[in-house]
Amino acid sequence: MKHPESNKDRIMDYLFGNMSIHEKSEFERTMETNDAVKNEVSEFRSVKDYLDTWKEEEVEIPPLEELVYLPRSEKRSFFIKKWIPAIAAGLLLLLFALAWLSEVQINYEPGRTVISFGSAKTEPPIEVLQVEMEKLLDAYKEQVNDEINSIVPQLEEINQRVLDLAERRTDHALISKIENLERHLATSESVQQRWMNEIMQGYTSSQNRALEEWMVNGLAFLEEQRRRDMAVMEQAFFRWAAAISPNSSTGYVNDLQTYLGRNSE
Amino acid sequence: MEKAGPQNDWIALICSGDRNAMNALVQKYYVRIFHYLWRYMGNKEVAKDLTQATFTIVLARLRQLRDPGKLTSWIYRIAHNEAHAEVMRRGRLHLVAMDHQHDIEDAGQNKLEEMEKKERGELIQKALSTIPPEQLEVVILKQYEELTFREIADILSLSENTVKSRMYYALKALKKTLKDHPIIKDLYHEAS
Repeated sequence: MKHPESNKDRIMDYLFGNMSIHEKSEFERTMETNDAVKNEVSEFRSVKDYLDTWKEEEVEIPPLEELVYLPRSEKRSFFIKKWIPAIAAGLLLLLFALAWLSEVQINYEPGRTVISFGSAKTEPPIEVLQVEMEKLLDAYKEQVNDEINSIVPQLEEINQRVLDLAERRTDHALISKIENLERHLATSESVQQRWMNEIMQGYTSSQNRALEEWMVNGLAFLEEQRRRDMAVMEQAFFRWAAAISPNSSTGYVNDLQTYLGRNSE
Repeated sequence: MEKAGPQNDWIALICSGDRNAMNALVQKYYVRIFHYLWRYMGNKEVAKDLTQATFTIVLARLRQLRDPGKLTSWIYRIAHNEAHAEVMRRGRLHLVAMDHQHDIEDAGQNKLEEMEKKERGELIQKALSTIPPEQLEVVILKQYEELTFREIADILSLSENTVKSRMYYALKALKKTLKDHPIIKDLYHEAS
């Protein structure tokens, strides 16, 4: 804490009252032993006091309407509230006036509404027209039915001939095709099956041979190892027996060999 | 840091277009923002225009404020951005010169006390104009707007340590200016 610049954060915190009581008293103790920091704090305080003499001037706050533009939505809602009902009322009045001036007539009938302007219109004789139209339609339907009935037998005959022809052609061609296909499939299937069997058999037999060979060799190897181990153990045992009974070792060893069946070999 | 609950309600009212709530916002912040901009830009007319622009933006974008507890910092940041944009357009030093001339013309019409007050203000303004702009804005926000170092750091998008460092070097530079300048020196000694 020799140079004030190394403590600029703490000086600023102290100067602007940004320290706890504990931190403040600790910093004040530091200042007592460090004149450079003490002088700097004192001078900064003078600068601060001087800057404080620049007082704020009185400012007139402008009204909200002068300061900012009002949101457009508010202006629009004001417009809607004030003018739209007036315009709607005006349009309604205009419609009634036009209706009155043009002698509008509105006739309600089942299924339709007729609005007409000016003097009353004479309606056409709807019932008469309808009967005539129905008669015409019936006559037309009869004519069409006759024509259809006359060509039906011809159509049926043609249809039968086409069906027969199609059936004959289809039978021969399709059956022969299907038979050929089945034969082909059966042949290819049996061939494939045979191949697979041969492959599997060959594979299995060669595997079996290899396995048997490996087992025979393995067993022979194990048997050889066992014999060697037994021979070593026997020799070791006889040496041990001779060592512990030097005087009567011959008779004892012979008895033991007899017991183990070595003499019989 | 402001209290979040009532602040939320207040902001919601402003966003809904409530005139009283809008007026309350303007009443609370207008003077502070105007003085900040005036001290930074050095010109009253420009500060007025920028204050107006700031409040137009504040009221238009208030819905976008994520943390209502940081309303003050947010408003100052908008004012700071507006001031920077203006400086980029016209330059701060030029504006200081303009305002100085304008005040001298007006001074003849004011009383003696008012003249002294103005003169002192001008001299301090002159002293402040000698320090770099990035130090000046920290001095104004700390010394005159009395914001915390944390709030200033938020407004200027800096770390607190950087803000303290700028304040330290600003005071150091001002100390030198106040000691060296003949007229300022007298006033400085009077004050201290």
